[in-house]
Amino acid sequence: MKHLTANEFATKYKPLVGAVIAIALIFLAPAVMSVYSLGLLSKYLCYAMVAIGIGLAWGQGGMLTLGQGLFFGLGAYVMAIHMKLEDIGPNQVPDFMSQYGITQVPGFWELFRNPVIAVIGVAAVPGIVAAVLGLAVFGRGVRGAYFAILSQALVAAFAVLLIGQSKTTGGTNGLNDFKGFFGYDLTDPANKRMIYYICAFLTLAMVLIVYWIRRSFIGNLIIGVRDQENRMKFLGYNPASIKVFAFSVAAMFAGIGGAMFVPVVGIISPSDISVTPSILMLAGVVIGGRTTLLGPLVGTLIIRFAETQLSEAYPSAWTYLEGLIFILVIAFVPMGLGQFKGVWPWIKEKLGIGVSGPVKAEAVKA
Amino acid sequence: MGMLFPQIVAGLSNGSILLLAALGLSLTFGQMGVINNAHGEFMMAGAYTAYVTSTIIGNKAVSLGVALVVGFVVAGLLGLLLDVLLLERMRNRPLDTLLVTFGVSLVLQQLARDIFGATPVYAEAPDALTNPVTVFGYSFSAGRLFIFILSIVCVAALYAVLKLTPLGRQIRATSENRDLAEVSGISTKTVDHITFFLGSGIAGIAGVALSLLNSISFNFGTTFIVQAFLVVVAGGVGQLKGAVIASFVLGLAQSAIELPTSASIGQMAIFLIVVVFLQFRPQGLVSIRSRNLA
Amino acid sequence: MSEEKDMTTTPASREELEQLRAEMVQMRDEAKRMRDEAAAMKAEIAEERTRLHDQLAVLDDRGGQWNDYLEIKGLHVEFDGFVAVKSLDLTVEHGDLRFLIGPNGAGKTTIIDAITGLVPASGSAKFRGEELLGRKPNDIVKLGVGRTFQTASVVEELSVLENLQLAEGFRKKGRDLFRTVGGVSQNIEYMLDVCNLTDDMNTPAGILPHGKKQWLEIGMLLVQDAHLLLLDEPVAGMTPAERVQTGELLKRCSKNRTVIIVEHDMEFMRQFADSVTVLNQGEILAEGSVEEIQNNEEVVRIYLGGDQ
Repeated sequence: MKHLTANEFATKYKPLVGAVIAIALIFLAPAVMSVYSLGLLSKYLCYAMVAIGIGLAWGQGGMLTLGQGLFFGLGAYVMAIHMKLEDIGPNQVPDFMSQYGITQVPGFWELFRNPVIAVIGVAAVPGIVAAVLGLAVFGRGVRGAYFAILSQALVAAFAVLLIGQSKTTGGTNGLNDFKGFFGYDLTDPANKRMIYYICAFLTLAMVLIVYWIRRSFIGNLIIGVRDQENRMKFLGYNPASIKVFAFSVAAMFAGIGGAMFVPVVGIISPSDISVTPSILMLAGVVIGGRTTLLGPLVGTLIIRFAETQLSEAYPSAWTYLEGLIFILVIAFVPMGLGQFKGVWPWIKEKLGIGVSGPVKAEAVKA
Repeated sequence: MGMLFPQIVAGLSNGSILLLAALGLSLTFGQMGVINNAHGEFMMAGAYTAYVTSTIIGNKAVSLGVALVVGFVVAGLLGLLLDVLLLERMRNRPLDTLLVTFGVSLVLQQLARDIFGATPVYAEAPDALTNPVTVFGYSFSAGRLFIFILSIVCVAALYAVLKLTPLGRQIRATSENRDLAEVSGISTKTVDHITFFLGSGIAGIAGVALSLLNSISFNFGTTFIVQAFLVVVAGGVGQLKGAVIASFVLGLAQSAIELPTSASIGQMAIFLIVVVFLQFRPQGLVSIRSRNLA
Repeated sequence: MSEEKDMTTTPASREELEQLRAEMVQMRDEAKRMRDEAAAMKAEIAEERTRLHDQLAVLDDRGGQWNDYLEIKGLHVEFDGFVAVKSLDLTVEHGDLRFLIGPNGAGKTTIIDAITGLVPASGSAKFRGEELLGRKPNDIVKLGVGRTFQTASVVEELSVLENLQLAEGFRKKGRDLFRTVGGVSQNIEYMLDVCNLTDDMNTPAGILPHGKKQWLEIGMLLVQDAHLLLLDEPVAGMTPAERVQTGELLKRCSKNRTVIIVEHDMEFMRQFADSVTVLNQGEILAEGSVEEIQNNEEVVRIYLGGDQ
């Protein structure tokens, strides 16, 4: 009986306990890490935000999106435009524009001069683009591989557009060389720590949002649409709107990740968001387990850490490893680390520790 | 007329390039449901084959002829290997093959970079194909004309194989009803392998042909793959006819839009055309079978 | 009485007296306990009776009215020039359990597809006076029309309860979508009971045996308050016992609903059909009670012949 109450306690307070542990870890990191490592961790967290969204759209919703770079890029460019305008002050244009003889920033730049609009824009712009695209595509029943291919084509077209419109987007070089972030000096270590905290708490918030979605009724709807899209119509739902919702949330997460990427890394360019980087944003989700809550986050942190450690010393070997991860994990362990979720209860059962059979079954169901 | 004619020619040429790149994909995607992200790298393998033969064989025309055959075999064998080792066990998870083959494409690209270096190389084309030819007072690139003809030949050959040979019948039977084909004595496993070999082999031919126009580097395939996918999506599953029409329509549209605007706008426009097209004709792509709602 | 007298007359030791008193207390307690038990049992019986009554009544209560009938007029379905259903008229009344039978390709499933918005059709199909044709499947559901498919199409990863909640929740809007669905609603509890699924409530639908999957499908129709139930071969692949159970369940459902079943199983039809429509090549060949159909020579020749 005692086990049951312990279980009940665990189920009831799991998110709270998890959040407390996460917050403790977030505050612990600056104490034990250098400013440089903290910057790297912030960067990983930006990618993790994208991954958490992918987990929702792909793992829960079955929408394999190969084009999250688009939304990452939209968020990033909105933020970069705002920061650039803030750096250069009113009635000035960035250096690359003056080289083309442009004397006034274009309208879509001017829009994001206002910090409030910029902050809203980093989530709203990707969200709206995703919603419009989703309505067009999901509304007509396009899904699966077709959707994956379209999302990939869209991000490819976006990258080409950014390069092609170099007069207003900075072209291949992208936007870089930022000095301040909403009035705070980017070179100051204290401000870097602040940016890290923002990234960390945004990530935590996204995990909690996904946790909440998964627990609520709409979480079941999303799974229903993934596994039985047409059946859902005959249960009275419009699958397209459910998919648009999940896809837009994922896009907003990616946009916010992209927006934080700019102050953290200091540059955004088409090479950060084109076809291959977009698919690589899936790597962490693949490793961590697409259907799990924390898998995308953990997987992304692992793979981005490994990337930093290996890619510079052994660039060739790293690419092979990256390729092999996709090949081996997807082919043989499709659920990633999530596949090992059942191992611990299994060991416990074999060893006869912990809860007894039927009670455990109850706990699993709960 | 004066402006229109060269533009149409450019469009047809673009279309034939798209068609060559998409033909093999259309076969493997349509017949087997496999989305092969490494298709571009099979094209790259074909292109590097052309480069290798051109360094070995002095006569450029002979070298090209040899490369077309060897490129077909090399890319085909790569595809066969991929199918036997990986894709065979993933028949019921088509979406996952997209990611697995992406991993394969990463590996193949790095392999090419390690073997041939990061700097682009060139396979020298026969002189006959580098000189322009003049028809009705307009001059065309002979290389592009060659690619146009080659793409038509490939389509015709593939069509003939699918429609006229026993192998083609088996391929079609397998794609239409796998279980029925199996009980009718067709080894669907073997048919799948052959189909994949054929589709990948066509990528090799495409790579050899396109090396006439482009420099060859490890990211040779990435230039074509995204648009090739779009052709397959717009053309519909398993429809050679669809792929042919989609290639030329998109090729013509691209050259028509590119001319007054820019290449980047052209590419964006292609994407939008396909999405808009899907609004009107998703039927080719979506089929609900009411009895089991699969 | 004599014993008592003995007890009063015979002087007893103090211990004996104490013991007797204790025994009496014990007996009184026992009597009280038995009385309580009897009362509890009585209450339980009453409760059980109301529960059974409820269960029987619930299907009726949630049913519809006499004017909930299906009226199809001039229904016409064509695929690329092939006429699958040829200007067909069909009326199925409230409380009817109608079987649609006919050889393969007769257009049975196509009729259901047309009514539920899966295939485009011309003509008219009205339920409760509302036109069904030309609406989207998810809007048709809101008019109280529910259907199943030949292959059970439940969400395998979700539990039986969660599947039923999906079926129940289509009217949810806005904030309700973002709430955790806590507990089992009265409606679902009834229907779990009716469909014999209470014990499997928390089982993932994917691991249910085939028969129970179909029951779950029927349960989903019931919780979504469908008053026109369209079932495509609901008993295919079921054991004989399961067939009978399913038939009885559908019979009960049909008392206050309109039920149409597409079926190949003639024995099942004979057992449970209220009325039968025989289709052939998109047209109605015959219509009537089971006996009438069985005695119809043309039907016997074309369809039943091989089966009997």
